[in-house]
Amino acid sequence: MALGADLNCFEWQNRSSDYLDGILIGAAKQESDEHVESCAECGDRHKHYRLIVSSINGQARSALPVPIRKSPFSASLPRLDPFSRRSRWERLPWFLRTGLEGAGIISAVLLVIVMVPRVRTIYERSIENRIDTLLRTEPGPMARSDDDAAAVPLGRGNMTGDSIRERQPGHADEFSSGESDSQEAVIDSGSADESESAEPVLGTDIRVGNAEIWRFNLKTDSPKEVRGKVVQILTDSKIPSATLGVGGVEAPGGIQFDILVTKETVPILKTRLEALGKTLMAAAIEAGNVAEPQSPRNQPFTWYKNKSRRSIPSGQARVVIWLSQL
Amino acid sequence: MSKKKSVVQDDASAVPPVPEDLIQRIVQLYGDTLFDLCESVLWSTANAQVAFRAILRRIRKLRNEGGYREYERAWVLKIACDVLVDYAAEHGRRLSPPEQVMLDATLEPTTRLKQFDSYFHRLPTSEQLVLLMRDKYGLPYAEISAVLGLPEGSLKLTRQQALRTLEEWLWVQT
Repeated sequence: MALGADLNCFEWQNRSSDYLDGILIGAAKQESDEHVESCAECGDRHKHYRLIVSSINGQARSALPVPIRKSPFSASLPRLDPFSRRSRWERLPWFLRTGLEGAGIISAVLLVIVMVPRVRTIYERSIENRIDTLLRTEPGPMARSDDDAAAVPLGRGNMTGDSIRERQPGHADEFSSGESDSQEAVIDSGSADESESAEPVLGTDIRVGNAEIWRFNLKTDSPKEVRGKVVQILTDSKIPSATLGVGGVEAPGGIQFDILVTKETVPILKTRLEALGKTLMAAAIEAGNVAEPQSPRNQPFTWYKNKSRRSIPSGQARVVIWLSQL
Repeated sequence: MSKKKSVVQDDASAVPPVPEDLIQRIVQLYGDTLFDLCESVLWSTANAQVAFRAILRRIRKLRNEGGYREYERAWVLKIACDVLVDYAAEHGRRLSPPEQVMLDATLEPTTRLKQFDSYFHRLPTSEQLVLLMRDKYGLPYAEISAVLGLPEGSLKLTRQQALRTLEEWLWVQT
């Protein structure tokens, strides 16, 4: 079939191999020449093909190594190129490999899902143990004098439940550690302006114990300075100096005191801490460090009363004083 | 006398006599081409040596089948291609994922041309063989057709397809 005058790109492409070899003759060659000249895309392609062919033609030719030429079957051969050596695994059929790989990935994901909470628990336990060890090795508050309140050692980390637990061997697991105790049920809370006498109304489906936890929050611009005053208040409230946690624990965002006191001591503490909070806020406002609190949330002193199912020795209450950094 | 003898020796080394033994003759006549074909396809000297010996073994095994006397080169190349296709499937060097990424990330066609071998070995073995036999060794289509057992039209189409693929990898791909 002779090529028409209007040779299109598809037709040229079909004959490009022959055209590249230079075996087209006569009208066919002329038509192809014209098309390559008129069509920029095919012209470029033809140039590219020529470059590729010249690259292949220009590849260096290797000669047969002399030992193999002399004795083709007995000459020692090198080991197979490690690049191209395939393992038994790679030679498995693809469906088998894919299936096994998929199962492996799913197993790994499930293992991670199962193991992460356990590892986290183990990690948290180890942290708690380390804090316990640290608290045990630090000098206790026994040697201090009552006047030297600021000299009471300041702990680090969270010593809330565990320290008290140590002192109450008969009440293991009485307290959880930390503020976010999921076992506690909040039954009463309020600010300094609210009445404390309001009796809590419990829902029938909520089970709480009688253990009281009092939480006093003091906002200050310098918790470390206020700590001494709090220690002084605790000392003045006849809390034994041997009580664990009386020195406070430095935690992220402030200092926390977590102590067991007699129930009679709690109102005294509350009154004194409230007065301290007001004094501190007044001083801070005067110094221009903070603005006048507008909402009840921003009050310098707030308190909450919780009850927990976990028991506390009778006649005692747990007091948590939190000096938060403004 | 001695001068004449040395001339005779030089002539003898320039054109060695073709041995009667089939294997030795094949090694002497086509050894370089076969080895180069092996190395070009397998992209490894070590593997080429192993494949070359496998080809010779296959030739020795099939020497009694006859029919090779008339088209010896085509017969040898056919065996070589059969061995190489199998061997490349088993031991052919594959580009590693980083190498593939590097090739795809190369933007300049001139840079790509420098890595022509890498792009060439991305082609299927059958296409590599067609390009090598036609464009490197300059074999006629009729002989390649006999070697690969394909009609000439299919062969031209395969070559054109391979060239088109390479062109896309080297110039069009971005």
